This record gives sequence, C-alpha cells and structure tokens, in this order.
Amino acid sequence: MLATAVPTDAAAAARLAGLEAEVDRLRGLVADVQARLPERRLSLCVVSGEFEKVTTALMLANMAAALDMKVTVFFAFWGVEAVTAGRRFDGKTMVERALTLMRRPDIAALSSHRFNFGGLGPMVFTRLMQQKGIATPAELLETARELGVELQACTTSMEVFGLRANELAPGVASCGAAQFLDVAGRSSVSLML
Amino acid sequence: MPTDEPVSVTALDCTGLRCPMPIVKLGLAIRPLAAGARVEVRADDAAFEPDLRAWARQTGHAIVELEAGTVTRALVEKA
Repeated sequence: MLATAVPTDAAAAARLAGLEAEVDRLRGLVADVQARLPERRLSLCVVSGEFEKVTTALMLANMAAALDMKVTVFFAFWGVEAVTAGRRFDGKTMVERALTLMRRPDIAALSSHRFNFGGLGPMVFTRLMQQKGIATPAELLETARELGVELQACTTSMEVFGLRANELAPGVASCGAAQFLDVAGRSSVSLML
Repeated sequence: MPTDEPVSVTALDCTGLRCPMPIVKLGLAIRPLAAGARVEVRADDAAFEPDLRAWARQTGHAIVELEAGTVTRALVEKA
C-alpha cells in the first residue's frame, strides 16, 4: 500500500513549475561561477624593458603556450620597448621625437640591468646565447607570435612615449588596464616583471 | 587489444637547444597532429626530462617511452 497520496494534476504542475524555476536559477548560478573560474592562462605584466626581464618573461610566455595555456603579455612603461619595431617621427611633437630617438628601436637593442657597458653586454649575452642554443629575446618574440601568445602594449605607456600603433612590432596589439586586469583575473598564473 | 594500424611518428631533434625551446618545439610539433599520433623527441637540455614530465601533466599528452641519458629520447603520444 502506498504511503503517499497521489497528487492532483494541479499540485504536480505547480511543483514542476517550481522545480523548473529552481533549475533555471541554478543554471544561471553555475554559468556565473564558471565565468569567474580561472582558466589555464598565464598573464604577465612586463614593466621593465631590460634584457634580462624581457627574456625571462618571454621564456615563461613561450613555455606556458607550449603547455597549452593561454598567454597574455601586457607591456607597460619601459616594457613597450620590447614590442616596438623601428622608429617613426612623422606627426610627433618635438619632445615625442626626442623620446623616439632616445628609446630602443626594437627588442634586439634592449639594455641589460647589469653588465650593460653601453650596450656591449647584451650583444655579448646574445652571442653567447646563440652559441649555447638558448633562444634570444628576438627569437622568443617571434616564437611567441607563432604560438599565439597575445601581446599587448599599454595604451597609456604608448601615450607617454609618443609611441604610435605603426611603431609596434607585427602581431602586437594595445589595450588598457581594465582589459588586462579582466584577463589577469581569469588567469591561473599572473606575474609582474 | 593490439592493433595493426600504423601510428605516425614524427621525429624531432632538439639536441643543442636549451630551455624553454625543446618543449616549445615539441608543443609546436604536436599541435597540428591528430590524436594518437606520436612524436619521437631527442634533447640534451639538463631540464628536459623533468620539463617533459611537467608538459605531459599539464597538457594530458602521454609519455610512451623515455630513455634518459646524455641525450634523452622520448616517445610521446598526443591525447
């Protein structure tokens, strides 16, 4: 004998509607939680344009991409020197032209924090690295592009240096801090160099 | 169950390359391959064996064979 009474059609329909509403609410909640979960992503903020830091940042970026992680590298302040390609002077103010002349033209010309010796140090390091089978900063940048690493130059830093979009290395985009923080917030690893 | 289906094996020589390039080259080599395809990689980088194990853990690809030595030889299979 059944202990529970057989529900009426109306009561069953009301209960079903309640359950459907609850499932919808939970689905929304799961989607919301999933959107906030960190993904397998590395976010790097590179504020230094020094040979050692840029090299390390790009080595980590390339390795993470090889590990199938999504990678975003945000280059801010002196870091933008790593993602420039040449110098353009047209349409710039006198100060911007001076800054353009003084900054490093591209990643192959970065100065090192130690043993720089007027640029001789990084040249020697680069040569040694090539002899020892170690990827140079320029090679690492090229490989990063090949691996689909997102390279972003900070728009405000570009403004400070009077750097134009046509001076950025191929494949390098620009973005603001909120966009980077949005991505960093969803990353399983975030580092600043 | 053993199968007679031929498994494609891509040879990859990473000797002379230093970290992170052996794993980066391996990552690039395995990307276009189909699941089940194999890559035979050789490398003499000091960090290669532990890096390869970390790579397998992170990506889910399998290390089928591993012979450590002056030149480490590994056979990996795409997941």
